[in-house]
Amino acid sequence: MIIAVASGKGGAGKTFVATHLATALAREGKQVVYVDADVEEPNGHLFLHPDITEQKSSKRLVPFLPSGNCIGCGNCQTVCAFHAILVLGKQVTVFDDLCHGCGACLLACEHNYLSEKHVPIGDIQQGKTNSLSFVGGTLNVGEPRSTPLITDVVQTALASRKTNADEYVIIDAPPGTSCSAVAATEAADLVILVAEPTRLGFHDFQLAFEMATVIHKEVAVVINRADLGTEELRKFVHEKKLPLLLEIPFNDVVARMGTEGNLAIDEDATVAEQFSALSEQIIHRTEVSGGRQ
Amino acid sequence: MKQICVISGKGGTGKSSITASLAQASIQPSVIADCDVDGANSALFFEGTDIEHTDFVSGSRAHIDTDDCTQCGRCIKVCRFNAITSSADKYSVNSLACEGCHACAVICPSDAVQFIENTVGMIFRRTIKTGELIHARLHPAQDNSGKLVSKVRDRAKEVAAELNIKQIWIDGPPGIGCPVHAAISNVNAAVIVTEPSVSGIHDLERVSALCSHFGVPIMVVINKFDLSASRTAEIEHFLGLQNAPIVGKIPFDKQIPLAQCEGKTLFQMDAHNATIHAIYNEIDTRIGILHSSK
Ligand code: SF4
Ligand code: SF4
Repeated sequence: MIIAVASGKGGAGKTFVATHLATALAREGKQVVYVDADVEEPNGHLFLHPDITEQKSSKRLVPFLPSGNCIGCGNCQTVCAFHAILVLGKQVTVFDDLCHGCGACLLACEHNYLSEKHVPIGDIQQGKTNSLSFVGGTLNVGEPRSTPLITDVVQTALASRKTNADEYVIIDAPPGTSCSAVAATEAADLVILVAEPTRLGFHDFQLAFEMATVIHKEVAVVINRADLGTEELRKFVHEKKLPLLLEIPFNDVVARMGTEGNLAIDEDATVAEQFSALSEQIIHRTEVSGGRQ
Repeated sequence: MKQICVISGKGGTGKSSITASLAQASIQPSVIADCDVDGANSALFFEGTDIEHTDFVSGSRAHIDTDDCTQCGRCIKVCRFNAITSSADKYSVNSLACEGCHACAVICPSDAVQFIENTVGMIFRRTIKTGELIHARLHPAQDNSGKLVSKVRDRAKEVAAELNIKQIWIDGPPGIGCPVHAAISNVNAAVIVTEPSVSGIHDLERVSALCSHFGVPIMVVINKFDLSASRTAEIEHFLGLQNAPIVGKIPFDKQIPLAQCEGKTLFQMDAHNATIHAIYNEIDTRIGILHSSK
């Protein structure tokens, strides 16, 4: 079962729900992989404290001209849809930041003069806590696009599984509704949207719901800081017949937990009960649906 | 004209409310550029109706003409984004996966690939009490490449020039990728909103590294500073090393999200109005918000 935890905007409690759900499932005796796909601002490790046992660099391809063979035809520049390659005389300059690594320029060069090299975009860490496996990515500062790294992180996590039907992969997705959020949720069987019932929160939720609909994902909802705000969100969830998995009332322990990097599940009996109930629901859903992979 | 971008690394730190508040604290009109285009919500803080809406087109998406396509399979092989799929009798392009790179068109021997302009989002303009608001909406699942952010900033500059407005407040996007690069390039200052938590500090470190990478001066607001004295001290220490000023501290207050439900900003809350004024003044003494640049 692959579950992505997402929200239209940061700050709704996405990492809080993802880390706690992963921990609660592990405490029910399940095999769990927690995946931090919020590679621009990864935070999951700050709460789970994994021992990192493996680290690899994630790379993308960019073209370059290895030798002085270029005849200066300019075909590569003409074909590049991202204005990433510039031909001046017989000099080819590639702007790595603009390049999408599509390879069109290589196809356009009739003499096959262009070659490709790998440039690092970030790191992927793999490790373990007492109870679960951890996979996370960190985007290099200054690297423009996070989507290739997110895809690599998710693939690495999926490849690390032990073909065990009882295994749960919990993906902490980046905020928003653009292609980076899509890259993190694409493989999921279920997308849990975390939302606040405030006016702003409801607005963000609708955007996230729209994204999940566009990519045809099954959606379930967790309402965070459930006692603040209005009924709009609940009404919407009810009308769309979305499963409302959990409502978490505002809790001082949770608000303060972030300051020390602990899990509220260890400090507060109410939070522990809430997440154990959530994980039971998830396990039940998985068993009923026959544990799609 | 001064441009100040408010960013936080992560969402949920009260960034939008602070941006709106700083505009409200000024005695002069301003343009607010909501560059958090993937989740823009400044418009919820400001009553008014949009007086302009423009489609934003960026790049294109491939489309395979089934009449011309001989299903030779070359395009599937070259597409690095797995955007082309074949079914029993035709090839089609998944427009969400397609990046519009034209590799398939280069390789296609039958000229069967066409390109359709891609509408990525919309840009809006609204006249509000404090001046003008330019905001945008990225359509779901689109590439937030930073181009829409740049477009919002361009429009904000045009409107400011037209109305002789001297300050642009930019509500920045989360993260450290393209959209943030586009939001902070060439601003007079980036105001980073952070929180005294392990994740807040981690995000602050990354976003301030990004600003120094682009040579953008930073100023910091610590939100919920009283949640942890030790973490706040840690932030102060970190900023001391960077020589970056703290321009304000906002206390933890459960009323803030409640006020937000009613569309109220921090500036409009009696308890925080003075703090916002003080933050505005701190920024003003450093960059002379209303003084003309150059
Ligand atoms: S790989 Fe694609 S994006 Fe990069 S330079 Fe070549 S044509 Fe342009
Ligand atoms: S334009 Fe590029 S990404 Fe789109 S289908 Fe063709 S090869 Fe694939």
